[in-house]
Amino acid sequence: MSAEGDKITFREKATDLLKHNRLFVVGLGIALAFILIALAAPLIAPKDPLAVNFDAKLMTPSIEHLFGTDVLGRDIFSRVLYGARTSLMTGLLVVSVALLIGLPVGLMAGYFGGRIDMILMRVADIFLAFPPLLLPIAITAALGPGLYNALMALAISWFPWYARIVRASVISVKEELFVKSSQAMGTHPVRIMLRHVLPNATTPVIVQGSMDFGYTILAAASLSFIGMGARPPTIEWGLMISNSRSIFLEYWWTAFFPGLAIFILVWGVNLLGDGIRDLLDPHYTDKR
Amino acid sequence: MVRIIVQRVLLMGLILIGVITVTFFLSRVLPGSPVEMMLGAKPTAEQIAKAEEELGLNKPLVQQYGIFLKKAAQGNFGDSLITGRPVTEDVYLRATATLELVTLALMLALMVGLPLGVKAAVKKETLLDHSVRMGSVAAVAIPVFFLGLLLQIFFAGVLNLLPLQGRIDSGVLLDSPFQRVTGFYLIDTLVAGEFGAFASTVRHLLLPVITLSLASTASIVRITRSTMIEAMQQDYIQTVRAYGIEQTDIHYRYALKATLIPLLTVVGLTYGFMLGGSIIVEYVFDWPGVGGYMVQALLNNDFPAVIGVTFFVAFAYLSINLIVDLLYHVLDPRLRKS
Amino acid sequence: MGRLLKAFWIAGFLAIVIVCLSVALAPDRVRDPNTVIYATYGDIKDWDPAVAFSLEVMVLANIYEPLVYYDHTRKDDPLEPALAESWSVSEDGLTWTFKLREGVYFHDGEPLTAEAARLSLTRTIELAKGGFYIWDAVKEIRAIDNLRLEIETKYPAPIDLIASSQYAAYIYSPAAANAGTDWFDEGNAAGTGPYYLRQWDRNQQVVLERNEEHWAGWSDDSIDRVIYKIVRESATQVQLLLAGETDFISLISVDLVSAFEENPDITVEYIPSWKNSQFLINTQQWPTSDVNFRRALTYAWDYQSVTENIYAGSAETARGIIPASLWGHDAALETPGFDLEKAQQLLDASGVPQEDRKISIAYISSSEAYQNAAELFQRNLSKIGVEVELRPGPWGTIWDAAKNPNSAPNAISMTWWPTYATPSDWLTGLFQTEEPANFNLSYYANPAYDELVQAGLRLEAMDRAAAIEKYQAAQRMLIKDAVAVFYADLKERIVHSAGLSGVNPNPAYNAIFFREVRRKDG
Repeated sequence: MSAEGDKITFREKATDLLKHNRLFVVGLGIALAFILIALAAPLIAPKDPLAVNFDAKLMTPSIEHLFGTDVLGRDIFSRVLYGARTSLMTGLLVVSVALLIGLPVGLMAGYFGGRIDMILMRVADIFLAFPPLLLPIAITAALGPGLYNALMALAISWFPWYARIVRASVISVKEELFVKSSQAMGTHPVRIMLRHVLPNATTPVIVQGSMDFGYTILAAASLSFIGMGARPPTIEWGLMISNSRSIFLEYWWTAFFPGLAIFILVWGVNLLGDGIRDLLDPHYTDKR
Repeated sequence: MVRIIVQRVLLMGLILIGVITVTFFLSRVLPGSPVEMMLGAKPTAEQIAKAEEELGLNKPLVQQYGIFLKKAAQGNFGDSLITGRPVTEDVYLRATATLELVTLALMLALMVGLPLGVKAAVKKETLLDHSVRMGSVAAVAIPVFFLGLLLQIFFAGVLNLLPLQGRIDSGVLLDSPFQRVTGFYLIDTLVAGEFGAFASTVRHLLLPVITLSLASTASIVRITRSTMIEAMQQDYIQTVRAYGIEQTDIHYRYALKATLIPLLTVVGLTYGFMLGGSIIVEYVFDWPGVGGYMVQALLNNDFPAVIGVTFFVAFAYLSINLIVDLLYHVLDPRLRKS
Repeated sequence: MGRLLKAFWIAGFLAIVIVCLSVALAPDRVRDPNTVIYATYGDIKDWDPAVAFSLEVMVLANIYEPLVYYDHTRKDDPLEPALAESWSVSEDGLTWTFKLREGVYFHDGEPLTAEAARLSLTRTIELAKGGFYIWDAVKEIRAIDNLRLEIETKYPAPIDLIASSQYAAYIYSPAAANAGTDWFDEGNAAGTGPYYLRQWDRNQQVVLERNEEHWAGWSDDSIDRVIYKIVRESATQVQLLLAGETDFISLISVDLVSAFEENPDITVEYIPSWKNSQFLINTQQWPTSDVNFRRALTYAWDYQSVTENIYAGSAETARGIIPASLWGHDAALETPGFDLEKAQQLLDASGVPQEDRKISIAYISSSEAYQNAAELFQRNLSKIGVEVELRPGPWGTIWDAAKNPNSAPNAISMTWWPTYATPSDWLTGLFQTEEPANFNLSYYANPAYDELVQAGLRLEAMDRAAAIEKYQAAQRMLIKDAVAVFYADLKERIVHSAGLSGVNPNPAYNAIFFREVRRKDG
């Protein structure tokens, strides 16, 4: 694919992708479906996802309750639908906050170079010295368990990747003629960065972001699963599985459907991410 | 080469100091006082005050940090508040459990991922290739904890074939005691000649290892496949092919060699990914490793344990990456010159 | 060709063979009938009986013995001899004499003497760890002769009751006392109990073996060996029990209990315990500083649903703070019931404006019961316009936040049980004026109440009926001031394999006494 990729225009590639890469289409479909579900949850959910009903607790899946009910008799199908909101928001928030931190750090490190670069990148190295998940868990514990704290923790431990990418693309254009001439004309560095350097970093950042989206959803669900993320009444798939942890062998549906939802959403998002990468950056190599 | 090693090791030391500094301040701002867990059910206010004084918790934070650094430099991370033992001892006992899990999972990921990736590259654009690619994207999307639960439901719940949790049967542990020389039960039981204990260890390892390795297997498949495809288009492979050398030989002897360097990066990253993932896997399978220890320590404000275990994990992670880095220099002659 | 490849395939093949063999050769799960396995959720931290103040007692109660046992089945005279054969108290109630059993030996071979008992108790008190404060009244402990121990107190106190405590009252070998806490914490023990410590494999298991020399003797079908296996997850414990790989489990989801009650292989026993649960309401923090607002909360709690559905048989609705299972309980106490209309009226009568009707509730996150009850409470309160923020967390965290007036929530979960058998433990521990707050997380400060409780406490050893009267008056004050939602007297739920008999849980001890356990035939 990569060999002939360079000569084809973006539009041709996009059409090609939609036509021939069925996986991309599947991913796009899944992602759109989940966005729709998230937006329309109050309209399509058959039951109030928070309504407690002890007379209907732990019912097996049926027409009445498509995915069964949980310990408090709440309708799991409705809860799964609402859970899409939390998970999509999770991915969006974490990636954008990570970007928000990583972008200026990367820009500064790349543009100014020297000591600033050294210090910023060593700090980033410290963050990267923690294996994934470990740092977010520690930060969440310090901030206090909770969905937003968990999301902030994920973003904080994730920003160095963006800083690195941005820095790399800044360095690659820094020596270009148009940047040099702007500098010579005395243009303000912030202006140069925004006008000339930033656009160049967009492609790798979008690629990285679309690849990370699914990962952050998984990570946030994992945090909720071990009791460090969302807490009730927030409806979150990982939390639902965590709550059914001690009963899942007898009442499998309490864990199965939320798990399936995470899987399908992340799978779709990853397929989409792969497609976007193929579209924008044929030379990308897998990071994880 | 020596200069590079020295440089890297120094840098690693600096980063490690950074890591424990960050962790120290992070863990010391954890909500709640750490001593309550350590004193049991209903301590009096006096007992709490006394314990806080003994731990030096009433000194200014910066001073505490100084004392901590001085002790840490001597390899003393203090006593865990939950277990009451030196953190180094706790971590050592549990680290081997985690390392055994992670090492085996990495081996499994490589043993399955490599051939699968090569096959997919060779049979590019066939049904096999497509299903491998689709499967690998799917495998990455399964939440580790969900996969663990599914395996438990099936192999332990439905089939009743494999144990649900733990490292070894308790009866075996009592009746055929073995020396913990390496802390890797697979090795220790074999050395002691306790085959029952060995088999029990294998049975306990299966589900957690599979759970931990699936996502990484998928990564390895993907990277192997894409680099193989690139390599096979290179001139020298084409040349070799023209000489009429056997196909398998081409794939494994020449093309695969070209994938070694990108693969090394993946192994380094996968190792870290697994160290992180082991936290969840250990939670699901009740595995007595550092992941569970870490979560327990964080939840209970056991700050000496938090710092100690973070240090260990970061150290393990950085060491592997250091080795990977150095291997680069060995394998890639272009880097060696610069 | 590719030697690497060949090695690769061989290794893979070998691995598969090993795995298959290991799975196939899994030993049949035939267990020694005289071994009992207990799945516990935590490892032992403090092996020193002078320090242990937590779940350790489940093991220590089988290794060590106190001077006196508390037996709840003996209604009016609950104390029975343990290491002391008999005991008496002087007329003025200040001097107690215990006559020790003869011919008793510690596991390390040392004989039990009055001097050994004195050394044990004095060391425990001087160490000032764990539950040592139950001995607060003690002035001096003396060994009068080889087998007679004398305890002199500063004021009249029920020393016999105190000596039956599961914390800080065990008698251990003088050699062990001299070896100290570090020796104990290596995983050593030397008591007089029916079992001795054989193996402690950290993070994995504790193994006890029968002490053949035990003074009470043994019968042939007694349990020889007890294994405490550490299994942190409740789901796992349940599966081990179903598979017959453990006899007892310590964690079980309420929702599984009903399924278990129908399973012929499993026995679920309920025994009244001295534990009860309540949500303490902060009386200082706005808006719960308003008494009518607090009373509204106590009427918005769905007592029946909580005990019937959330605790599902493992609790009875509480009546006041002293549980029905202990002396001093007041069955005639008038307590609030679930009545949202009344709650709404109380809210409107309170001085809390609409926009301030927001409260925070902290509870231990690992407890399903708290979690479900708090969520139900949140739902019900939202119906009457009170917004609830839930703050789950580990005990250490929520407790610490609650002790600081600036970070204290409006309500916090609490489960309490007495250190020894006295109702005053709740009344003083939870609601007596305390500065700074330790367990009085209601921040309740009422001099009239304090006086009543103290008066009762002094009367306890000499005139129990008079003491009870004082305690009842004090409880009425707590209800009037709505300092807590008193909602559940817990029952001890013991889940074990049906093949066992003689499991006689005792509310005074958080342990199973394995000496009495037998395995039924077949």
